[in-house]
Amino acid sequence: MSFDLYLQGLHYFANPMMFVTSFLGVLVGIVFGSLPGLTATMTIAVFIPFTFGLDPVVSFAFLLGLYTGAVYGGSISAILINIPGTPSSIATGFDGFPLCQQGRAGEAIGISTISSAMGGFFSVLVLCVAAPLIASIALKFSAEEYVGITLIGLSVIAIISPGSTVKGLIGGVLGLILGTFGLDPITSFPRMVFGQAELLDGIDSIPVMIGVYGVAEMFNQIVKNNHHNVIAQKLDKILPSFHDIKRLVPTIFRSSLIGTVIGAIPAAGGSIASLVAYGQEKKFGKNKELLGTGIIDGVAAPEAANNASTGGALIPMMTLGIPGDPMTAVLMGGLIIQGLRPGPILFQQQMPFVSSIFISLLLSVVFMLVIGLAGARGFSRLITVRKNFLIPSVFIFCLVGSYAINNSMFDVWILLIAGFGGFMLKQINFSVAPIILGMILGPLFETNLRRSLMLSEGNWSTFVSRPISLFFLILVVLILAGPFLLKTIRRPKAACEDETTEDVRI
Amino acid sequence: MKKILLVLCFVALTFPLIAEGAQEEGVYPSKDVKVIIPWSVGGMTDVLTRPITSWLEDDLGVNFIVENKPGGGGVVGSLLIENSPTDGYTIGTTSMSTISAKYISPVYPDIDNVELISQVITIPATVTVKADSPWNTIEEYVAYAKANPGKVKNSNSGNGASAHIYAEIFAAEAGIELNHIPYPGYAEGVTALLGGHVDSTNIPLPDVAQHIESGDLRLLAIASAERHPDYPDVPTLKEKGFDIVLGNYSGFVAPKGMDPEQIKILDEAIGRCLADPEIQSFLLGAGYQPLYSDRMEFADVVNSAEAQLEYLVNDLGVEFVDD
Repeated sequence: MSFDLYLQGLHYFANPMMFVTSFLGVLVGIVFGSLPGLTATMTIAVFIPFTFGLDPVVSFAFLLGLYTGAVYGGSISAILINIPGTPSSIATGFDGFPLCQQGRAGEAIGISTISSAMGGFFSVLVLCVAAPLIASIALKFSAEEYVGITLIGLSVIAIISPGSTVKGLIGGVLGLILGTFGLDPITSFPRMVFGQAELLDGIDSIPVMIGVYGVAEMFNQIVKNNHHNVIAQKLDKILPSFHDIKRLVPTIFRSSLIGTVIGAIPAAGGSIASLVAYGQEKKFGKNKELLGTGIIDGVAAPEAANNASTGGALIPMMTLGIPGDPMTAVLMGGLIIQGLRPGPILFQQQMPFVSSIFISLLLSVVFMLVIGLAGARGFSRLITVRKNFLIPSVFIFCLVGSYAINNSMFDVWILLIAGFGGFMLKQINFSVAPIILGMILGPLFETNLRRSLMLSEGNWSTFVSRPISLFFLILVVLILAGPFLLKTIRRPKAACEDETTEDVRI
Repeated sequence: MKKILLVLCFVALTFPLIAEGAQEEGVYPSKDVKVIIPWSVGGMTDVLTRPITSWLEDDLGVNFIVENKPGGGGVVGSLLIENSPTDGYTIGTTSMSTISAKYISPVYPDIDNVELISQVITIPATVTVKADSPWNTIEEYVAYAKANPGKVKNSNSGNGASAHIYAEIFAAEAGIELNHIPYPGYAEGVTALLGGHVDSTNIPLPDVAQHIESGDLRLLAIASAERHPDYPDVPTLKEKGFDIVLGNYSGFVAPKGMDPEQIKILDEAIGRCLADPEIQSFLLGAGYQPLYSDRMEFADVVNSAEAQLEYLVNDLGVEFVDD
């Protein structure tokens, strides 16, 4: 595809409405994304009906602004109150929240903004230049490759869980069990449904996430009874130093690449992308041994990845008409209502519109950077609000958010049960992240494992005879056995070397 | 931030008050009508329902408030429609999954518990293969499948879901045996075919149409009663000697016991709506085949879908649920 095709949309830069709606979209997206319980998918779903009457170009500037803003906004609450706004910001909290407790919330938000913008920008570039090519590669991913990807995600649980690995693995298994509720993905046999229609779709991971993070944390705060204990925040340093950024460039680049690629694979999405990015930082990062204690590297990696996954997820949606994640599925509905059907025909017949999408996405990344940096100080001030105001408000948002996902009271009960369970687990220093990750990854793994075996007529060698699948499996082995292998290799000269930095936690 | 929260709370509290408004009594409809869609925002049913309800707003002069109640593959929302008040101010949408649910789910809606209002679209099933596959005609495909029983991998949208039902009925009628590979939905089933991971699919036209246009997929046959206007060269299964018309539908229903006069008013309004060329061209453009059937004709459509399902389960012994 020749490049000047993309220039056909340049005249949209003359349309002031596009700037206005894009800005509004990002702003609203950040606010909604940062509120616990209001996910990026829901934010888009709520606002789509408002765009019906608008011109497609203008309405998409708004929706893509929402998309970008909401994915970014999810990290703000993860950093400030340790409640991820969306599943893709779970990993951001690993280091973001400890930073906040050190009084460095402003800095964490600054880094998160810069990395998100760089990740977003990277994925827009990839989307513009290589979308059709990447889409055709993504098509090569069959069930076997998904098995590999989800296994990488699952094995990352073992290495990232802060504290005890055994507890992390128990949490992961608990999540896997929670993920088996509902219709069997292959035979449609109802499992652990107990006659409840609401359980047919299984347990939604979002109310569980809000429960174990949000509600449990609120219970925790109430019990600790330190309502007036406010962490003083240093707000003089929002913009990271040039030195820091220079140091983080390799991390951000690796994470952006991971985010774009995983985002482009249908059904994978930002939560796996940010998790894998955090995992690779734990393996290859310069400060890997400090990860989890509150360092900016741990915020940069998942943030670059989850925003890069937004552009990535648009690749299969726009070029094939296949949504890359739930958010793009909703966006696709919005496009169809506008009378545009995303897919190969869109690229052939509606090139000016396609380039307007690239421009909108670029605009939203710029606005995200501006709003994020300008607002960092204000956001961080949020947690200086007295706890007896903050706790009830957050609690109400958790309730409203869980109800709103499916307009269902059932999800509110799930939230409360998960909240109570999460609170109990916190008492025994149990990390809750593996539970959510197990819940998200488990069903993907199970379905694709069984589908692979159906496709290969029961032949297990299919996993190693396909090159991409084999590559993933080797990565899994390296991730799990890496620390052991390194230790064995280094043992002979270990006498004179300081080995305390090696992270052995299997 | 606190101010934003305050404003949001205020808007949330006052919105229903503004929306309620004062309405005159006597004429139906005289106040807002709630439309329950048992599927999510941006999904197939949502996309086709919203333009229709906004047309109805202009026509009938009241608001139609769309409420998405996804869950359980449509079961949750459909049960909700069944149990809604019958005052005429709550209606909903239906499709084949409302009746196929009883073969899968321990709790399921019953189509006899609702009143049919009207059908708005039909979605014909297809026999679709990859463009670089060795089969150029439906005869070649069937001949290969006959010679190699169980070898043709056919993607569907889940065990017991619509595309699986079409595939089972087609396979029975054609006397072939397919290797059914379930995917979570139409989009994923089509992706698997595009990627060459499966050999064919019976997924309905809207989801394969643009890949046929772009030349990546080949439509061997369509399962509608007549040829499709956009694909005049593609034969129907009927013409080729397979006496089946397969496909999904979407339409409006009301809780059992709603006043027949009110149903008639809604049905006629929907009929006017579907006659509007703008609505028709929207539906066609989005890949749907507009097909209005009034409440009487719609009953035939639903009955025939029920009969096809019963034939599958009772006569062919197809088990949607392994146990």
